[in-house]
Amino acid sequence: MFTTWYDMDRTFSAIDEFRRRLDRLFDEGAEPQTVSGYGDFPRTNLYDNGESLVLKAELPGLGDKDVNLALHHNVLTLSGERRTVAPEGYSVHRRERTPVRFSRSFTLPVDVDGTKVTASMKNGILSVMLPKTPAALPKPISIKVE
Amino acid sequence: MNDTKNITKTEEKNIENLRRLAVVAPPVDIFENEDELLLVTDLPGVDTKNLNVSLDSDVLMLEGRRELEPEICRSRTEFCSIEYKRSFTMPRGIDQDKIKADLKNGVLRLHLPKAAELKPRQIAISGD
Repeated sequence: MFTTWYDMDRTFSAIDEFRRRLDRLFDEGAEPQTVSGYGDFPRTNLYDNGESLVLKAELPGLGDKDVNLALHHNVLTLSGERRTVAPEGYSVHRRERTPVRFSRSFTLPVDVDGTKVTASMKNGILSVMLPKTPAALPKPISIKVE
Repeated sequence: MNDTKNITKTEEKNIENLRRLAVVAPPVDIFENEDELLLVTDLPGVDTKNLNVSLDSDVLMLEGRRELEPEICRSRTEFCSIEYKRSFTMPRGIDQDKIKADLKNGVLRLHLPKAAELKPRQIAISGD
């Protein structure tokens, strides 16, 4: 009937521990462990190296026929299918690499020259170079000293 | 006595140069036919000099790392430098000297041939 301070404290510390675990689960700094859902595949990095925009994507095992890149105005779309076929004559013990059909679009922050886009694949990482149009390049501003 | 067998060749690495990276177990597919077990795993960005596949008694260990230039990981990052690590206990009956590994386009294929005793065979019946 009468709860002692000790009992209440124990209940609160259990809740605190639960909250701490949830925080860790949603920690922004944690490295993403697995790919979940269609929206996340493939993992990509989009960055600006001054003269061009560069898109890098993790696409192990995919060849140029399995991936499509399309640029429409300022939207770059990366799509394709990752088929993981069991080789002929083998039975399957374990399947963790699931087949996935993906399509991700990126709205580019600056204008790029569609005719000068190049893409290459190395070690399963796709690199797309999107050179900026001359108008989009950073311009130096001169400072007049009085 | 060192029991570890290296299946791939690795160069000496300077310990000071190795950064501690996040470690992740890569997803793996395991297949089997009558001659071998086949392990297929995705290791995007890892090339042969950063991959180490070794066998210590019955444990097969894969360790691979990829280092990306810092400018790639600066903004809008979903993947960066990482270490892939996973180990497997070998079933008995694998011919450990004939294990082959090949890394292409970021996909590692490990061929684990079965020792002759484990392959299916016909048993001759003597009698009438």
